[in-house]
Amino acid sequence: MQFRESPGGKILSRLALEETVVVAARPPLLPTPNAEDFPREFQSFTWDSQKTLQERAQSVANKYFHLAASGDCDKGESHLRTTYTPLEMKKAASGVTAQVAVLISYPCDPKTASYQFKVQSLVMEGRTHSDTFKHTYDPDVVHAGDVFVQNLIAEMKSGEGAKP
Amino acid sequence: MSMNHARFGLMGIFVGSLVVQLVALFVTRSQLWQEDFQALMVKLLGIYSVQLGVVLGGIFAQPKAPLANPPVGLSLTAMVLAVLWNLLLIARFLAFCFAERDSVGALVQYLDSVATSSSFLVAGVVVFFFGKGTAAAGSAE
Repeated sequence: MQFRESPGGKILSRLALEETVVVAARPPLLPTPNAEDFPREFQSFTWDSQKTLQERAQSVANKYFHLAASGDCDKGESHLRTTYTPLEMKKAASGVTAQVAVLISYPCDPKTASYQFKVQSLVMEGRTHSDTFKHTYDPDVVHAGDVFVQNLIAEMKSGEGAKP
Repeated sequence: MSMNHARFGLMGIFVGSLVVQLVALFVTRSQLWQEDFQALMVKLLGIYSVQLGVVLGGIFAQPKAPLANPPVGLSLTAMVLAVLWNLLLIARFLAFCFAERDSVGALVQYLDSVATSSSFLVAGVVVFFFGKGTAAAGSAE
């Protein structure tokens, strides 16, 4: 790129252009499930902390997930959607893996200091040597997902590091 | 080394390698989805079907007359090549089966490319020892 005194005039400066865009060769390694992919069933919790739920939720969820951009207020609710994160299972059978993503829905403009919010969790089961994850019907895996969510919410409420 | 020793030695190498990999696959079964397990089984059998088809065909179609013995160096070379080809497959397969985590897609890709591109190692061996190169001793061929 050349900068000239005037069109066709003396060259003031010459800069080499460098390619700065890196094209991703593969799809994102951390897929984010769509809101429609989450099961309708949810766990309900009460938020009665002085801190805002959104702030705490983002702060805690950031430790374990990447967050998907949440849309605007929809039917009075805001949503926080996450990517998957590996699930630690103590009672898992050999070769079984699991991952979980959560969708947190909370009132956009709560009228009271204490209000309800809901968490939908999408728990997927995998195998250590297979590439795909599937919806799980294994009670141990589902339970591990529920425990993870409960600990996540406890950490949000406490503001401390209670590891999910 | 007689022709029969060479032939059965080669057959043992192919069958033994296949059995080792099948056993390893069964041991790893709980770490794979059922469809991946089946896909790997079919892939393995498919890879070995060409070689073992010719080997077994050559043995069952063996003429009654004794076969002409090949030079000792030739038999040993054939066995080394067969072992080498099988090692290329077994090494990756066992690494997959005994790894803490691995990808079945990557393994299938490896088997597809390596088994095909290295088949020159055993193609001539199999054809010579189990095909028309095995003429009966004293025959015109």
